[in-house]
Amino acid sequence: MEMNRRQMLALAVAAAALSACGDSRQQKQAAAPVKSGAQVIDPNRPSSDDWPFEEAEQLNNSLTWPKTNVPDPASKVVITLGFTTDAVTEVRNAQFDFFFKKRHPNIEIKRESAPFDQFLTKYMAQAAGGSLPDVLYNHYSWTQNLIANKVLHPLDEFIAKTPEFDMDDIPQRGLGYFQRDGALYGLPTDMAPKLLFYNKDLFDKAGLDYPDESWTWDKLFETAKKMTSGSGVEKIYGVSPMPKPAPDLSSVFLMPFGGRFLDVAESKVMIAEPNARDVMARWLDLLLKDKATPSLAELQLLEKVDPFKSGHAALFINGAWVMLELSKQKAFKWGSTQLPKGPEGRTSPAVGSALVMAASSQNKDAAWIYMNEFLSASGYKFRRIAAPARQSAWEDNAKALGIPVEEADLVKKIMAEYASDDGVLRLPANKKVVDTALPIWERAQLGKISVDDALKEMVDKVTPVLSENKIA
Amino acid sequence: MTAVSVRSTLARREARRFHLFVSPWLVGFVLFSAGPILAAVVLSFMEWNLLQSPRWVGLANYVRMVNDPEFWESIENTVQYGLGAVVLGVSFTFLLALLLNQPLRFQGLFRTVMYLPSVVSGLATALLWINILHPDYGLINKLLASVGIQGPGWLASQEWAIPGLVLMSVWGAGNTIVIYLAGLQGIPKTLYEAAEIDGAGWWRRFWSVTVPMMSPVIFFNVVTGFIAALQSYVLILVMTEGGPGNATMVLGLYIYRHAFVYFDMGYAATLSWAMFVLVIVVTAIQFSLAKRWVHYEFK
Repeated sequence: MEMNRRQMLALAVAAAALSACGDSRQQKQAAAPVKSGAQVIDPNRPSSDDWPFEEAEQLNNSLTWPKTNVPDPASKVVITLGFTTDAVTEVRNAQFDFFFKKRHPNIEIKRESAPFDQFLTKYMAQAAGGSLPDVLYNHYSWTQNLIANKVLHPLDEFIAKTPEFDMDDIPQRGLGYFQRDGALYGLPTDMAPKLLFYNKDLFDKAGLDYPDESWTWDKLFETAKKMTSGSGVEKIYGVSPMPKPAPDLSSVFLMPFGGRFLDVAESKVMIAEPNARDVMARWLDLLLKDKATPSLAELQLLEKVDPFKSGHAALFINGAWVMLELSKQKAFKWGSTQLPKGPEGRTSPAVGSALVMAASSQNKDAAWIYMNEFLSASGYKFRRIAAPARQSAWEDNAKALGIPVEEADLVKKIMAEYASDDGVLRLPANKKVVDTALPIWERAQLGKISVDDALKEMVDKVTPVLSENKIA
Repeated sequence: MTAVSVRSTLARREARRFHLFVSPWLVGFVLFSAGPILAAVVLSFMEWNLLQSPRWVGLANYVRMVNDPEFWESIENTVQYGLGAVVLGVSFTFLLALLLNQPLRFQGLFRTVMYLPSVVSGLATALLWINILHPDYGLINKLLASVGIQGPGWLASQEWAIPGLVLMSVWGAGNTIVIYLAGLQGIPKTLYEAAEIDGAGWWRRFWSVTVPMMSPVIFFNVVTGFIAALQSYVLILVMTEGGPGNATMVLGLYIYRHAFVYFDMGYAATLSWAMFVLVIVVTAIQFSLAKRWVHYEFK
């Protein structure tokens, strides 16, 4: 039977409609993963220009590797590791594995790596299929959800069997993300506070003193206005970024004034209460009236080139981990100091990621032996982590990475004195809380609604979401 | 051997080959499309976070969807984007196809250049258009400024973010142009000759010959374009993440967020069925309207 044009058209349209719930070709093309730095690593001699094998071997031999009372397996076992790393770090991790296998010949390592933005999706799907790796990277905001769903195995029994595993070397105030009901489910791979960075060249040009420990948030606002100048591509912003709904909003911006985004139990929205409200209002004025911090439109293009890192912001609030990147650039001189004080004192989040052990792991002893060495002071020093959770590794790593020692000392001081997980969202609904509140705040940033209307709407819309934080 | 039995042997052989060749597609369709489609029906009545066993919740996800203001907001954004992308895309590409159909020197080069954006990766397209649409430094606003018009905020503005995405959607319309060109070349020259003999000018020839003869092709592009636009989310995810202030939160992105950010699979499946219904309704409306304007040569 021959079809006429109408029938052929109807058939074609029906086929297209059938595929309505699938991806179009264009979307598939767009969604294709970008291969950045895909490389082949020689398992028998992992090496790269950044991480020469000889240097790794020398360093490995110079370090003392910790012992544990957890016995090595009597026969060959394979442990799977699920990490997220860049191509450069991947080589260093392969070198770690190479030397680890020499120390533990019965432990074979199968390493998986996924980009950060695809990591959770990949491993949630694997968890659904019951095939999680034995050891898994975990962002601090994911762990409580995995604990609540009984996906993770507590590590306390292994720590108890490993007297050399010095827990006092890890800031205890930053472990809350990984703890529940007295058990510890994750050990940090890195941990750092947030700092106030400044562009020395811009301050010199303006003839103003550099920020220091005496600064208050009032002083920051006042200076940010003074430092703002120019327009278009010549624009210099006083400070970047401004606060927005984010897991550490309370800890960085609100708690110094006695305010909070959510209460400690993450069961109540507090952002519309006077202390928090006043802070958010001041920042909104700094944006809309003083134009001293980048607007949404300005951030849109600058997103790929951070205003501070490109020399277009005088002050910058970010984690200590950016010191590595700043140390490598030569475009401007920079410095850092503690976040300013508020009427209620000074606060900073201590945030980092962790390694966790899957409850489904069949080789928990071998997995622990790996974690013990990877997360030991020697492990941190070998991997040259820029923001090590083990405080004893800071100095060596800073020297090796070219980070000024005084900056490393500042971080250690903050971690020792007050940085903590208090006020950092971590319960299962944290992502949904942020995604619900952020569009409302963006409307305030665009000047569409007042600060009071925005904060009230946040309370109304975020409150129902918080029911998902109740963990049985 | 009789002629009938030879035919029947040939027919059986042909049937066997048909089934052999069609089977890979059928197996793929059943395993990777039909299976998930049916699973999505069941999932839409369940609560499932991937980490626990799915739990039957009846119509709770559908009730939640109906009462979810962000869902309705996403439907509104999706329809706005779909309408804009289709109207601009179909008309603009038709005009381009008319130009590319002219017997000019370097015709092949022009056609290649017009098709090039279709082979540019989605991410590169997104980054390019973020720059083109930038309120201060973007090409479009620079051009507007050169004639004394202050351009809008585009992706940074709640009102102009969807129009900005609509502009971008035209960028990769090379495939549509190819379909138009095939249609234009299929119009018998005799019709134009007859029209000329009757004294028709270029506009009359365009309006009374080209458009009616191309109407089935235009209709095809409208229908498939709408379906693609209603499902779009990847470039929007890269360019705006649904912002500012949810202004570009289209249904596809809303489904993605619930499925792969919140791992709320039951609700995401429910939203996916809403998208399917939306596509079917829009397509049905288009078919019913088509009777009024689509001309078929052979009925």
